[in-house]
Formats: sequence, C-alpha cells, structure tokens
Amino acid sequence: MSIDMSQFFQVFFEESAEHLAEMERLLLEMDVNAPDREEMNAIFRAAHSIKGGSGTFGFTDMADVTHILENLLDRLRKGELLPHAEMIDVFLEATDVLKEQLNCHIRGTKANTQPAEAVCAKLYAMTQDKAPQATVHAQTKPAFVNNAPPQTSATSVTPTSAPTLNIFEIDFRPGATFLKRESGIKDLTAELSRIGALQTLSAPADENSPMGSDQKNLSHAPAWRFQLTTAETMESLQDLFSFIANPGDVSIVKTEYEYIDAAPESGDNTIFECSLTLSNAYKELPKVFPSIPSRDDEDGYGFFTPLLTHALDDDLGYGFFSEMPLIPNEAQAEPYEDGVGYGFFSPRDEPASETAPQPSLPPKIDTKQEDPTRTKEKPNAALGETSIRVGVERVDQLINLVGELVITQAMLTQTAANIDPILHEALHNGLAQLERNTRDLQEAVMSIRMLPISFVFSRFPRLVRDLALKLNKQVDLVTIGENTELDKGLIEKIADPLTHLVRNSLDHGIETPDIRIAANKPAKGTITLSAAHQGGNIVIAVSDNGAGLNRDKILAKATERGLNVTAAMSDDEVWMLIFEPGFSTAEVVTDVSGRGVGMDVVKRNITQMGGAVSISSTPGIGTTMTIRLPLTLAILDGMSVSLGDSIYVIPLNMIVETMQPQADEIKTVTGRGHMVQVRGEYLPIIALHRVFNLPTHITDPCNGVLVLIETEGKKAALFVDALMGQQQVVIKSLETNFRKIAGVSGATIMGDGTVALILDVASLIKLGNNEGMRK
Amino acid sequence: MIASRTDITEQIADAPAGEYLIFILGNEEYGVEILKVQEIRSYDTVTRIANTPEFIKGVINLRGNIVPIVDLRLRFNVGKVEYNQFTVVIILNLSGRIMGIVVDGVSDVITLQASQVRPVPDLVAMIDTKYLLGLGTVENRMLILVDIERLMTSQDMALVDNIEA
Repeated sequence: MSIDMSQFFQVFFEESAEHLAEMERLLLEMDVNAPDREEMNAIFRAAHSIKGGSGTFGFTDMADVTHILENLLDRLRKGELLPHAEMIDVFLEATDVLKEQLNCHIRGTKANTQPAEAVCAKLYAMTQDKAPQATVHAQTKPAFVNNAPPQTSATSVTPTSAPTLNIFEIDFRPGATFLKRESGIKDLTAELSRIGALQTLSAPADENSPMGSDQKNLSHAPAWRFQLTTAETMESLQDLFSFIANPGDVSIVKTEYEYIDAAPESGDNTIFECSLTLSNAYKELPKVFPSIPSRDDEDGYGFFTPLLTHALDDDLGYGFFSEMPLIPNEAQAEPYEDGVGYGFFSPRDEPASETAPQPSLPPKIDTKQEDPTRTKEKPNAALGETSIRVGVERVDQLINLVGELVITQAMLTQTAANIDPILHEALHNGLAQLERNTRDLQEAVMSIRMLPISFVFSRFPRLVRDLALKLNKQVDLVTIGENTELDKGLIEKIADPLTHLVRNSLDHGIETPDIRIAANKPAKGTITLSAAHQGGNIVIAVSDNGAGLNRDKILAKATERGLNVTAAMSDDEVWMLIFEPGFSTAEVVTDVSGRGVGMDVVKRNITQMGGAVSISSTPGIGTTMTIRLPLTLAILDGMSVSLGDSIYVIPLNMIVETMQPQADEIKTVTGRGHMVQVRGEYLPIIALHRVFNLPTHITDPCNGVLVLIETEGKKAALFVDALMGQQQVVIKSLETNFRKIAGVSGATIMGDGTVALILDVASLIKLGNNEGMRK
Repeated sequence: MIASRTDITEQIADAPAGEYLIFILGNEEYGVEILKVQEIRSYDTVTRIANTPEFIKGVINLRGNIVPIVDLRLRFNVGKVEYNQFTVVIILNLSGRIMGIVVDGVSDVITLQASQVRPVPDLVAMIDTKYLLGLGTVENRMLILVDIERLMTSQDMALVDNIEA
C-alpha cells in the first residue's frame, strides 16, 4: 500500500505557516520577566506541531531546528530555565529560519543551511546555559542526546535503563567557527559536567575568561583535555561534539567501560523527556504506511485517525478526518500540562485522549493500558480555536446559492402580496418566517468570508520591533479593533499598503529619541493601528505621534518636481501630494523608505479595492493616515440608473453629484460635442444611449439626468434617463462565462432576479471621448 | 461492405458514438453531446449587452451565475424568431463555461452507434463543416452533430475573449 504523501504537503505548509505566525506572535507578546505559563505552552505546542509535521513529511531540516527549539522551550516552560530577552531574539531568529525553510520546501528549492546551523548553535548553547546541575538525571539526558542534528532518528537511542559508566578522555581543539559562536567552551564544560563527572585535565590559560563575546576574540585555538565519567555512550558524545565542533577538532577515547546494554540502537521504547506526553498516533503510522520511518517523539497529525482509532494511544491528533464518537471531555479539562496537538481542527468535544482512562468514557473507546507515569498528563485537545479548512470557491458557491434563495424568497413574497392575507394567514406567516430565516442565513454565510483584521495586524509587532531597532528609535505599537472583520480578499490585499504606511510612519513620522526629548515628548513614540466599522465601510487608520508632515517641505518638493501647486492649497490637498509618484521628502534614502516609491502604489492599490486614503497631520503632534474600504470586494455601493428599459449600476465612489441641467447650462462647441457648465467648469457630456447604441425616448439632457463622474482625475457628465436608487450590489464577473465588454466592469443581480450591468466609469470616459471624435 | 464500414468508422474516429440531445433549428435536426448540456429551460428576460452582435441576446441570471444567451436562429438565419413561453434555451456547460443557446425546440435524446455516424461531405453549409462532428442517421432522419464547444468558442460567435486557434 503506497500513499502519496505529497497530497498532504499543502496542508502541512499551511498549518506550519500558521504555527509559525502564532509562535512569533506569542513570542512578541511574552513578558520576559513574567512569562505566562499558558503562553509558553502554546509556543511549545506550535514548535512541536511543526516538528511533528516536518518529520512526518521528511523535511528533516525543519525538524532539526524545531527539535532543538522545542527542547529549550520545554525546559523554559518547566521552569528549568528562565527566559531572557536574548532568548526571545534567538527564538525569533529561529522562527525566521523555519519560515525560510518552509518557503524553500513550498517552492521545492533547497534551503541555505547556514542560518539554520547558526541558530541551532545558539539555541543549543542556550539549552545548556544555566542548566541547573540538579537536573542531571535520565530525564534530561535523552533530550540532550536528541539534539544531535540530522541523524535524530538514528541517534536518539540512549536507553534510559543503561546506568553503565564509561570513562572517556576527550581532546578538544576548538575550531574558529566554534570560537566565533556566542557561547564558548564554558557551555561545553557545563554540558559535559551535566551528563557526568568532568575533570579538566588541561586547559589553555584563558580558561576563566567569561563566556560569550570574549571567546570571539581568541585568535588561536587552545587545546582542552577532559576526562569524563558518564553514563553516555560513545555515540552520544560524538554526537554532542559533532554538533559543536568539526570532526577533526575532537578526539574521544574510551578508556574504560562496562557494557550493559547490548542494543542501544533499538530506539523504540525510549521515553524521551518530551515524548512522555506526546501523542503517538503517528507511531502507528508505519503499520499503515510502511514507507514512513517510525519516529517515536512525534505527535501525529491525525490525518489518518479513522483508520487507527483502535490503535490510538494517547493521541490528540488533529482530528482532521476523525469521525470518532464525540465524548464531552469536561472531565479531562484539567490544567494543561504537556499537550501536544494544537487542537486546531479538533471538534471541541472530540475525545481528547485516552491517556488517562476515565471512568466516564464509554467502553466503545479503546482505552489501552497506559504507562502509569502518563496518567497524570491530560492533554487538552479542545484548547485553542476549532476550525475547518474549506476552499474559497465552496464558500463563494454557498454565497451564490444563498443569494439565489434570497431572490426566490423575494419573488414568493411579491407573489403572495396578491393573496388575501385573511384567507391565507398561515401562508403569510410562513413567508414572513422564511424571510427572517433567509436573512439570517445570508448574514451567516457572508460572515464566513470575513476574517478579523488581526490577521494583518499581527505581522506588525515584529516589523515595528525590528525596524525600530534598525533605526534606533523607540516605538510602541498599539492596535485597536483587531477583531474588526473584513473580507478575506481584502485582508490579503490590504496587507502590503498597510505595511508600507506603518514603515513610513516609523521611518518618517516617529523621531529619534533625542529629538523627541528635545521637543518635550516622551522618548518612546507610539504608532497606533486601528480598525473600525463605519457604515458599510471599514476604516483602518495608522497614526503616529511623531513630527507630522512638513507643509513647506512638501510644497517645495512639489514645485521642484514641477507639480502644479500654489501656496494657497489647503492642508489636505498638500498632504495628498505625497501620493504623487516618485515623491519623497526624506533627506536620506534608507533601505526602509525614502525612495519615493510606494506611497503612489499604496494609493493605487487602495483605489483598486474601491477604497480611499486620506491624511491628517499636525506638525509636532503626529500624522494619521486613514484608509476607507468597502467591507467586501464582492459588494459595491452603487447608484442604479435607467436607460431605456435597461438598468445600469454606477459605483457610488465614482459619483460626484447628479443634476438635472437647465437648457442654458448645456453648451456645444461648433454645434457638436455637448458640454455642461457646472460651477464654472465645462464637463463633456457622455450620452450613455449613444455609447451603448441603445434606443431611448430621452435624448435631450434637460429631460434626463446628468451623473457627474470622476475617476483618475478626469471628470465627465454621464447622461442617463433617470436615477433609480442607491443600493449595495454583489459584483459578478461577466468574464466567467462571457467576455469583457467595453464600458462595463461587471454585472449584478437585482432584487427581482434580473441582471444589471455595472458601468466601468474609466472606460466610459474613454469611450465617450472616442464617440466625440467620431462625430 | 464490411471493409467500407470500417473505413467510415475510422474517418470519424473523433466523432464518437454516444448520446446526443437533438434540437430543431428551422427544418433541420441538430445534435449536441448530452454531456455538454447542463439543463434546458424556457426563455426568460435577458439583459441586453451594448455593442454586441444581434444574435447575442444578452445575459441572464442562472442561480447566481451570469450566463450569456445566444440565439442560434438569429445566428444562422433559420426558424421563426419569436420569444414566448415555448421558446427553449439549452444551457451548455463547455469546459466549465456556462452559456445558453436559443433553438426552435428540443426533440429527444438519441444514442448513436459509431456505425450510425457518417462523415460530413464538403458542402456549403450555414455552419462551417469544421464545427460539425458528423451526420447521424436514425431511420430516415439526418442529425447534424455539432461540435458545440468549438462552435461557441469560435471567433465569429464573439462569446469569448480568447479565440481558439
């Protein structure tokens, strides 16, 4: 039986990316001085899930990094180590490395191993850092052995039941790479003494130099001689050294040993520190998929749970395809100890685990006899959000169907209006109920596509932190309204413009601490990201309490660039100049910003989404950039207009005003090319019936309506028969089944089920101009 | 006799036997592969689309999908062009692209054996022979089997942006 594992790759990639994002978020949130136990657990779980998955799918590089990361995290959350700021930095670095590795796997390219090795070394050093001597017992030992990189599965073999003592003599001549690392020989000695009795036979003179940066300054390679009495095997020692030194730099000679365990490579029954509590559905995998190597310390992804229910040990799984009977697990909802699964996809009351045979469990579930040491562990699968992964097209299909239902319901109601309400009371009641239910259903379905904006906001703490460090600025990031929901499509598209605005605020807005102090402001600046609903729009604002925009500078720059500016321009107009292409007032071009590329792109992107961006700024107080977006890409605020017997929809954000012109306001040039005079401005009249070649009775603009439209800086007056009303319409693509039509950007379905076309204002203005030429 | 039949079968190897939906245009009977047909419905109000050929009637709302409707009677200048409750629209699903054709009527579904399908002779037809799969013969009836996908996506139909080669 062969299963193509690659079909699960996508799921793994997506999940790992989520786990990494989660890890990063938690790391940034973590208060180093008072780490939250739950958070530590959550970080650990994320790391562990990635490890499990990457091991399963054979991405050993990721598994190796996460493995060592996980060990460190595990000790942190058990309180064996205390977190410090440096550690967080290294963790973040590790998540970056993992992200890079993940991306490489997604692209199918080979990752650069350099950063991974570097970060492993740092992590490893930290694992050894401050290791309390008291922890030298079997429990930590295998964890240490497990640190050995690529051969994890092959070398993670030390049986806990081998108290044999070996005496080794170690000659160690650290190479340059070793010395360059932040932590040096002291960590090595600490580690060695942790696994056994260490005697330093000889050491270079500067043995006492403190660890860390001092070690970097060593220009020559001193030789060390140790004698170590330990329960470790030769292999594990070599593994230890292979991790920190070149093979040629170390020689280990076993001087004495008692041999007890004859089969150190068995690897199966070893209980690793971390595997104590790990779920092991995965352990059963090889039975089903013999091609997958058994890895004892992985938790399963639970993809295959239904096949394995009988064999489930203490699995949390992901419950992805699980159709197991649902058992309320309140009884087990005890403090989370060593949970493994992320529980991301588990239904809330999936039987979390059979780790602890609960009397409440029905006999249907196979409660295997458990190692008594495990019974105290109660992983909680229900922790965290439960969700399922569904393709967007399915959701869209659902939205379409519900839209259709709404129309059908409206038709029914219309028909029923002609039926005597007294004779057919029940029918009317039923219809009223149908209407309510349909509306609820529609709302619920529409909300599926909605995601909280925290999906975007969550990337900024990291960005701000890194950037502030780089720019030597002190910045606090405050986010407001993270739960504001908007369409997934918008979420994806807003991320880049928003990133740009935040970078801009940080680079140009917030001043350096000394300037801030000189200006009587706190040294630490604040960038506020906020999101809120306003009517049918979502308003996202990026504010900083920095220097504010410099009106004179912008005006000077604009003049220099030959833009049409006057000193009399209002502030708002001046601020909008920064959205001009290639406009930058930054004196120094940094790699962050200042090249003047970007703000125009930001504006263009936002306009494409049907939104608008505005700026308000006060010198010395700060700047606020406000983005206003429609709630969803699929819905448009439109004005419906009639032309003959057709109805067209004009996007509301393109409409300046509507008017019924008087005859004397209509001007012509050489008897043709109608124009209308609006407040001293002459605008060309585009007659829609002429552009579209549609018959209509109204051919005199004075009998119809002029809709003043504006887009891309061009204005025109669109001449239609009448205004029908303003409404939100769902945008449908014409191109799905048909083709692009000039002057039309899409179609929508009106309340009565008929199709109305949405006008493409920009192309209409162009069409109108051509029309004028032809005449 | 047997040999000649084999020849014919070979010639029309790409016009396989199968089930065909038979529709009427003027006095002729046409067949389209049944698997390309999504549904049959009556003619409903269409939304006219500006600056398109006369035979493109416009678009309709088919359960949330915007679907173009082509009147084949207008396209090929046959039949009586009138729209009433008996006017039939065949909704086709051509590689995921949904479109509708207005025809004079739909008669039946016929299973054709390979032996019943004859090649199209070169003649001046209102449909270019390259859009025909073959001629089906059932008793005295001649069924014109149309490669509907090719026809509908052809350039002169003006229904798609990307014109097939």
